[in-house]
Amino acid sequence: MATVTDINDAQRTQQLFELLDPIYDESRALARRVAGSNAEGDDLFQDAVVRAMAKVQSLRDPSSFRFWFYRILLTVNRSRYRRSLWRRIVPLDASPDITDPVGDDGSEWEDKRSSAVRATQALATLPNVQREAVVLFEIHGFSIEEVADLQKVSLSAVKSRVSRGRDRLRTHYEKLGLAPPMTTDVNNQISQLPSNPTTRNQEGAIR
Amino acid sequence: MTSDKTLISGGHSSDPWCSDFAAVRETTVLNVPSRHEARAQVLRAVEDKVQHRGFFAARFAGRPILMAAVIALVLLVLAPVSYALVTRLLFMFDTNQTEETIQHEVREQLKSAGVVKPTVDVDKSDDSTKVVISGGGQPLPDPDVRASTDGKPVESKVVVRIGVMPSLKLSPEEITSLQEIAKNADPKLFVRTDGMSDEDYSGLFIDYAAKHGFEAEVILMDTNVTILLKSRL
Repeated sequence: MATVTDINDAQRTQQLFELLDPIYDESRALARRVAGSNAEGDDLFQDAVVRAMAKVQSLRDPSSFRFWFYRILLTVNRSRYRRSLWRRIVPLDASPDITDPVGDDGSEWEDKRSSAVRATQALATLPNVQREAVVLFEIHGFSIEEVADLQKVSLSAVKSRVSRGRDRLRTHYEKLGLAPPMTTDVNNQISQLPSNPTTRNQEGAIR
Repeated sequence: MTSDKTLISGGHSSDPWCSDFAAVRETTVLNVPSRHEARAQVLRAVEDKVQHRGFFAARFAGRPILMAAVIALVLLVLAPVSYALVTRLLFMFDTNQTEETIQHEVREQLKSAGVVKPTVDVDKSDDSTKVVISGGGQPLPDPDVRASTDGKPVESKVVVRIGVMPSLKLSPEEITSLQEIAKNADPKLFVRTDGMSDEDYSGLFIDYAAKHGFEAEVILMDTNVTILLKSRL
């Protein structure tokens, strides 16, 4: 027999998933990208939904749900990251758990898999807040202003995080022999980036 | 100015990680669980959480006073030897020893550091050792760094813990030195001013560790600060 708690949970889940529906795939992808692997990301998504369920009735403006939920997701991500302290002390091989091919061409898939693993390993060298900023800005396509809103920090802090993150990424790729030494200050371009993602290249569109 | 055509997702098309990030974009949208599946998983997780919460509530229901003092520190140790420094208190144990020996050693070290009737629980599993310490009903030596700005008391307490990466082996002299550093730390050095970002606040502790010859990582969680010493500079 369902208890009062069960019914409330079911109602809140229903309410939350109705709000989540338009951004379901996008939020799943965001969770996987900031968490560093699909499995960790799926766990993160679930934890974030559980946390959001407890708060959803206090959400006054449903139109602000997307950023409201993403802020929760990032908060939960940081919390999970801190809890996994000892796992980070004994570093494990960072590799996204990808099993299914993208297309029929096996070799093309293997290239993509290797690329994704390399990116994940490179991102793993960044401190958590820098990694978040880089993922949100470079992979997910949020504007600097949006990242600042999501991370609850100033614009200059986000620019600094992205810039430092890019420096670390470049160093990592240089060590792999995949990047020429920096000849121009690429990071200066960060300050010149269009703040609105719609003005960016189509590949930057949010998925 | 960088043209829009050269920009890929906020970065630059010449970035060496550009195609790798594109691969991440593709691989992270594969095999996403269905909404129905996700909803069922969430409901199961909520159910588990309620049961979990019930367990703790039942455990502490009859001992409300214990709740306030219990669990000052929980350490999960994966390496053979680990150190933990709770501001003015440093203890050390070898995880290859038995639960009873670890319990005895830590308890003795706590006693000699002035902890009254310390309670030490040790739980060894295959790959980890969990040590839970409480003051046995008495508060542990205050591990808080209380600071004030402009003479006004700061309401939230900041608890600073210093941990040492298992890969960093410390000599007895270095342990003593660390104790001194912790004992003599000026709380005013770690005052968090309004608007200070997490990064800047962490920087205070990183700089402090660097000043004493260690590379450190800082983890902030609410009012808890964990400084992890990674290596010597």
